[in-house]
Amino acid sequence: MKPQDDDARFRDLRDAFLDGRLKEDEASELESLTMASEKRVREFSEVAGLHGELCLLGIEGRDSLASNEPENQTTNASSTGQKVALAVGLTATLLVALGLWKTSPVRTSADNTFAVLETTVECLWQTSTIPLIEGQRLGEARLQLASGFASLRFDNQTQVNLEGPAELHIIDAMHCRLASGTVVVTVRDGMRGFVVDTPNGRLTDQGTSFGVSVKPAGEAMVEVFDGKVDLEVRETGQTQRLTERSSAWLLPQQILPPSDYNVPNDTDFRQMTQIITAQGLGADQWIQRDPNERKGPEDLLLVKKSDELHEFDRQIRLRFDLRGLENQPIQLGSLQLTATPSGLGFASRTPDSTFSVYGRTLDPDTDLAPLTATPWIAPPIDNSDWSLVHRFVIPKGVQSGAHVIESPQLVELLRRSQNGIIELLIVRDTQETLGGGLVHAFASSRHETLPGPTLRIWQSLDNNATNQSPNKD
Amino acid sequence: MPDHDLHLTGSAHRTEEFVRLLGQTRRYRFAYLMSLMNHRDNVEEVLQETDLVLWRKFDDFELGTNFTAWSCRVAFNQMRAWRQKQARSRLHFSDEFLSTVASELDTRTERYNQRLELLQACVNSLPDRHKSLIRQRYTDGDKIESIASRTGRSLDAIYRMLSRVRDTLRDCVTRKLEAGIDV
Repeated sequence: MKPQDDDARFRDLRDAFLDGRLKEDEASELESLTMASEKRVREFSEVAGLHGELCLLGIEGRDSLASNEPENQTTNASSTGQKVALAVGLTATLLVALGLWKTSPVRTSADNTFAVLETTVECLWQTSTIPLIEGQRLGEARLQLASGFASLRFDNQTQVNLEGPAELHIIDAMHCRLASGTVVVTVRDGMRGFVVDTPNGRLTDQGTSFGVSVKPAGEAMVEVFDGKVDLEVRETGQTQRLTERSSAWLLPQQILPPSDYNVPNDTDFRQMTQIITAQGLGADQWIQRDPNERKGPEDLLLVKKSDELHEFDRQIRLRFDLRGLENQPIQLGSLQLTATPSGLGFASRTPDSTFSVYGRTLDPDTDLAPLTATPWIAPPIDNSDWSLVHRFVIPKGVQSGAHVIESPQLVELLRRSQNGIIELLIVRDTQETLGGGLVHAFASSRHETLPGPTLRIWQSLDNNATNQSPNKD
Repeated sequence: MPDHDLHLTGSAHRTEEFVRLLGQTRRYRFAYLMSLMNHRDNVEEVLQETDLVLWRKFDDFELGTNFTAWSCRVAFNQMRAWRQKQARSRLHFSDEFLSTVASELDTRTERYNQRLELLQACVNSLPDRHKSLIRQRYTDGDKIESIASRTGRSLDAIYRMLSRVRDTLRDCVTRKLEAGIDV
């Protein structure tokens, strides 16, 4: 073949490679023709390099168009700025995976979203760390869907359908944690490694569509519709690969076929008791750091963390009297708080807010000081008396609705205090970013219409039932 | 891309520096891998692995040297590892060939952002129908079949046009770089 024929063939094959139509047997021909000439090596590299750059500009252009949708106009930046934001956003995914993101000061300026809430059907959201509307971009987030159906599409084309009631923690673009309820995951062809953690272990997608349902005690039913999924039991390290049209239970110690495991019927052996702060020795109160500045409605429980005027910081104290409980083992427990506007401060000057709930046990035989007389407890709250029970988030702008707090630590506290008194301390970890921030409020036991703080405790009716932690998260 | 101002004092600062460098240079690694692999999904897979390895090996990075070049070497090795795992990979270029091309690509790390801006300017200066072709192919991600059917042209005609436009853009960027033109 003449050199000019070689050059023409080289260019044909080069373009075939770039346009994704090079055949397998042509790859070696392209390689030979290219390597036969330094000029062709340079030309191939230049055109391939340019092709890569066009791909990059094309993708950035697409993202730029997406970010120019009306709801995002306030975040528009220069073209260069958007490119940098994209790059930092991509980096954010990695950092979330590495657990570094929380310490990174870059967070506030980065677009760290990687999915979109594509469809919602009759969705009633219990709690989420972000406002939830169709088309909402999502990054790391916790979603609690009380009822309905929500479909999330990740930028890597993974589809996650959430069926309420369910609680899902989206950790990054390849990883989420299902605390309860059902999701169906479908990944695009060729992608592997999408991870769904459940209380008992991990599911790793190997190119597939599968459904997983986490039951109240943490056991997960996994069904593979298409492809393969790897299961791993957290405690024992046992692994098993499930293939198409097969299913299994992921249990605390093992993986079992469906025929070998029966889900315990909760209603058969549990009773639920509700305890409010107005019962027995119970009480509720909000405390202000500087009692001389204390002002606010008394039928509410107020909590705030200021940026400068610390005398206006507020915290909540709850006391529950558990002495009326039966002696049967406690299996589950939850605390419900009902948020309501305080009328103090401005929600727009307060970011998404994280609250910490601390707990301690009290001896009912000792003199209990009235909560109105208890002193301010200054953070950090790390003395041995109090232990962290749970953290929860109220998104910016949300001032109403029920917040249900459940955690193994709460169950443990209830078990330790089964015939005594528990006291809970609620503080806001997030400080306002601007002066005049919102004072968050929950209904107290003195509120005329809204339910005050309520503990719900589920106990076994069977004394021989296992005293097992619900292991929900 | 020159790296500068690397004065790391503590782990938080070091993490911050890593975030900055990773974010600043990821675009280059993407384009670099696209040049060698030409499959976006595969590139994203390799990029994810690369990011993790970069973090794990960040202690090995010699401060003050070229992070972009170092990260591309890591990306190249990750691409090789990925290829070895892909038994079903359709294209089997040899490591020698890919290494040769990668060495050529390394020369592009200089003035990379400027190169991209020049490329964008060159795309903007194309005739409308060529600009539209580039947009459909690279921004909208349309298949050649769709473009051909929409424009009433044959597949071969679209392939030829794409080839010509890429050559035009390559000449345009090279010319501007040599002339020292800034955008």
